[in-house]
Amino acid sequence: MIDELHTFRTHVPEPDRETAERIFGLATRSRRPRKPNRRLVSAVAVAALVLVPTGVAFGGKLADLFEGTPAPPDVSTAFAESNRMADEVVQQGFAVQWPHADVSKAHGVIEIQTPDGPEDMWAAPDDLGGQCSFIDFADDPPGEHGMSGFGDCPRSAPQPAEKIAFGDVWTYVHPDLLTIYGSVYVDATSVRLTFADGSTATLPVVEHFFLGSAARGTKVDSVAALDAAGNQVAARTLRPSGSTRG
Amino acid sequence: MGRSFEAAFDAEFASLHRYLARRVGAAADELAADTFAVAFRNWERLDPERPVRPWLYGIAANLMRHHWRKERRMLRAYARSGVDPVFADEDAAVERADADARHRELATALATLQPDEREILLLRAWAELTDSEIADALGLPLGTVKSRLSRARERLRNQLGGVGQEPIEAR
Repeated sequence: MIDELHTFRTHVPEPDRETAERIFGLATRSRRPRKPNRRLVSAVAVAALVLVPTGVAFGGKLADLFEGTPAPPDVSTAFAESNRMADEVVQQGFAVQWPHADVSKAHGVIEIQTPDGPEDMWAAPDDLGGQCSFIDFADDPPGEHGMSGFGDCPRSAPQPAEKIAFGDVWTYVHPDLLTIYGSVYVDATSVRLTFADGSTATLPVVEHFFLGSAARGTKVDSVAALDAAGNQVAARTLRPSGSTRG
Repeated sequence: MGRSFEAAFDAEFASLHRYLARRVGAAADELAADTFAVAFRNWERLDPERPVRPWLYGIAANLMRHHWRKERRMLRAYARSGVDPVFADEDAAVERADADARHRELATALATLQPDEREILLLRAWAELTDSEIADALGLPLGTVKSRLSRARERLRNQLGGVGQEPIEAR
């Protein structure tokens, strides 16, 4: 029986090299579709160019029209997974309460271009009056629990003593890149980073968040929050410890 | 160092494409592209210990679900007309028309199988996967694969008039 099947339609030709190359191209061009929300024009898009500090390969060019983009399912799943973990934190007695993201309101905040493709920051309001955030690389494949990435729900009430929350992290998936991110708890339109070599770079603040990408090994010494007129409204000196790994 | 997608593509593309072409003809290009696109997007999720081949055929099997009706129509058309639509775009199609009445019977028999039975049978006969590879590809228990394969063969044998032997021992 199986032998008879073997001979059935045996004349189907081998695909030629051109077909193989065409299909390989189609397969490897595939990306998760993320259509920008054209309704919302980000005011910060005009401030897209980021100063490049000397000696530091710094990426932070904002993609146009990203803010307000509804989160794709893989990102929403990541927020939902974060909520599930928050439940566990409370159930196991590690905290009395823990912020939960409103997944239905998850949206894009900042997209920057890096050597590894677009890197995105997403946010969703939480039930304690703050904002949860999540950072991923758009071209990474999603996992069982949504996109792989990192983020948190900062305890925004009461207001943190630090006016600027700051983080820098590299991951095994993108080992050459340092993601620089944070949030600002004062009215600011940009942050100015000062690097260990004395150079500086400015990142726009969108919905209180900022996001940048630099070569791994880059050291940020301090962060200053600036208002629209360029006046410093908050500052934070960072400890000289190395970056963390996600 | 993990396996590269490019190497897996080079190793598996031709046989997978040919398998799909035997099943749905010209739609093979689209299905192969979709299969490898899914594989590419999920490449880092693939367990390095897991063989690529059954995984790829499992993806293809999922995508084939949208083509089961088409496949059945093509088999029935072949059985009726003696012209296999899989080769419809080729000049040789007419030459082959009615060349093998037995194959027309086989097409009829394949068309009567349940989609899941046909899937297992053709993964075995055309993709030449072992029972355990089929189980891996389709996410089924090995026993289920064996029983469905046995049922499919039985059904096919009955359709073809109970002739023919079972030369393939269980692998």
